[in-house]
Amino acid sequence: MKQDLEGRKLFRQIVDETPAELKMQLRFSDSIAEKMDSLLKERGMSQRELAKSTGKTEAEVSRWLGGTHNFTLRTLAKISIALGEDLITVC
Amino acid sequence: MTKATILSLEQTENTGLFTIIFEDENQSEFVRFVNKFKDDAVRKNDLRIILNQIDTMLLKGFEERRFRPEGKMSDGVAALPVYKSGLRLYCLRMSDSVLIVGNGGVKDTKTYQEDEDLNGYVISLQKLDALLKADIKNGLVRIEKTEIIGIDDKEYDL
Repeated sequence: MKQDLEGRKLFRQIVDETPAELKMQLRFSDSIAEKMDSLLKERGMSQRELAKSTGKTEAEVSRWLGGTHNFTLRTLAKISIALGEDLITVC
Repeated sequence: MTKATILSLEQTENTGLFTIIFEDENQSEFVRFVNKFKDDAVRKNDLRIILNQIDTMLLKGFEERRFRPEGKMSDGVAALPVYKSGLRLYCLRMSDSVLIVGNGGVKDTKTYQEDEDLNGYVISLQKLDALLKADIKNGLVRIEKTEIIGIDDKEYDL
């Protein structure tokens, strides 16, 4: 199969040159989204139900689950209460 | 209509990432997308977010929740968005393991249909989706885990 070598090189170059701070922020966002997705499935809860419990829209919940959202502590607290489990553990 | 072929961009144990190239272009749609924003002081960071998101998915899979549905309910066209800036990369999500990325841009209209370029990118992927589905149905192409088998010499009219 034909390869996009130029595309691969550009892709790697931009990912490798991404500042460590942004990479860590994205890792946090992704971990939170993954945990939220897993808790929703465990509890058989829909995105609509989570939206209702947190007073947000379904579109907002969908953004949270995308894996790149920059969460505020207030939002994390709301989601944790709605899901009945802390989304993040500090210590 | 312009003929396009599918190119392999990245392969991992869990996923296969592909893009397309039109016969009248010398760069893939993915490269054309990246080149538009890689040196743009305002959008550079958003491009990094999208590409790092793809890098994460190469290991974890192209789960549906990570994409914003675009196009019609019946097709697999989706976008990887940065909501604040409106930057979007349009994709064709074939499965949790196979993704074809196209071109994209900044959506500053209410709908992508109102932007001629963005609408064109989505329409191309919708056409590719329909043609690939027909080839799969006719046994000419098949998705095998992370690979698309049977497209090596294929050209699609998009």
